[in-house]
Amino acid sequence: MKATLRATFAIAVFTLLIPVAASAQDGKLNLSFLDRLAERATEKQEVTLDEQMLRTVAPGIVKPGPGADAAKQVLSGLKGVYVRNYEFDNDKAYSMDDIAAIRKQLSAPGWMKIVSNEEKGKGPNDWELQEIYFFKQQDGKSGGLFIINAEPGELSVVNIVGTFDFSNLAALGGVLGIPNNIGNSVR
Amino acid sequence: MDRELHDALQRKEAPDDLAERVLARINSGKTQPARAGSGASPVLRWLAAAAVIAVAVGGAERYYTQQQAAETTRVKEELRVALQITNDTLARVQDKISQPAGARDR
Repeated sequence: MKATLRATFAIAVFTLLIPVAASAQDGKLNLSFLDRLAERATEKQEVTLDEQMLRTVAPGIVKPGPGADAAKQVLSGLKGVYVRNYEFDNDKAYSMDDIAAIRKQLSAPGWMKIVSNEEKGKGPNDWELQEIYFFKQQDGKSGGLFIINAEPGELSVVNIVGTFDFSNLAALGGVLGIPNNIGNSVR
Repeated sequence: MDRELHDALQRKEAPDDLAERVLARINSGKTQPARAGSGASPVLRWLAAAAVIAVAVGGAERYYTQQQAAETTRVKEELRVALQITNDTLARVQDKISQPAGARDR
């Protein structure tokens, strides 16, 4: 009886872990936990571009010119771009607990924290967090990027999924008319 | 001039045997109802059908191209916003990391 229960429990745990393992293989995080924060935000910018969208429009985005090849390389490797940027009029609108569900996903195999800055002051609203993670695929290539900047009253989360040279993001930025060199800060 | 017009437009009675003549002609089978395109050859009909299909396909293709262009513009704009936020967030992180520890204490 005990053995049967143990086996059932093991199967249940294994079944629950399958989606986690599957989602962790491509560097894509579940950002739906932020939906409730979006409802409280006074200003928000949300971008959700999956692989199909990017594939469909990629040929039309890059025009011939400097950096076009690098931009094409990035676009061909992109599998998803997910951005959430919220501003709140109240510093107590959210806390570290609200983003714990996202950060928990980063403990899955493959994710590597490369930059971290966490500060906690004396007051309840005196805190902030900045982190950058890379996702390393089983073949050793980078499969994604996660950036978070969390402060009272402001939250920015970026999850870029795909296999590409991160330094080439600057070229894509140039093609799209963004003057600064994206990616320089973590090269 | 006025008199000529008046005479020309003056009402005239139809001949008494007009109805009989018309019916007789109809019964004789010499008349044909007027139908659009009835005189066109099969080749012309096929050409007309092909032209209609070509116009329809061209219109659909143009609509699809316009939709595709609109979608490309939308995704390009979203990608631009995403990269802008990425850039700003990275700059913010870099700014925080590069600050001396003492300056970060509040």
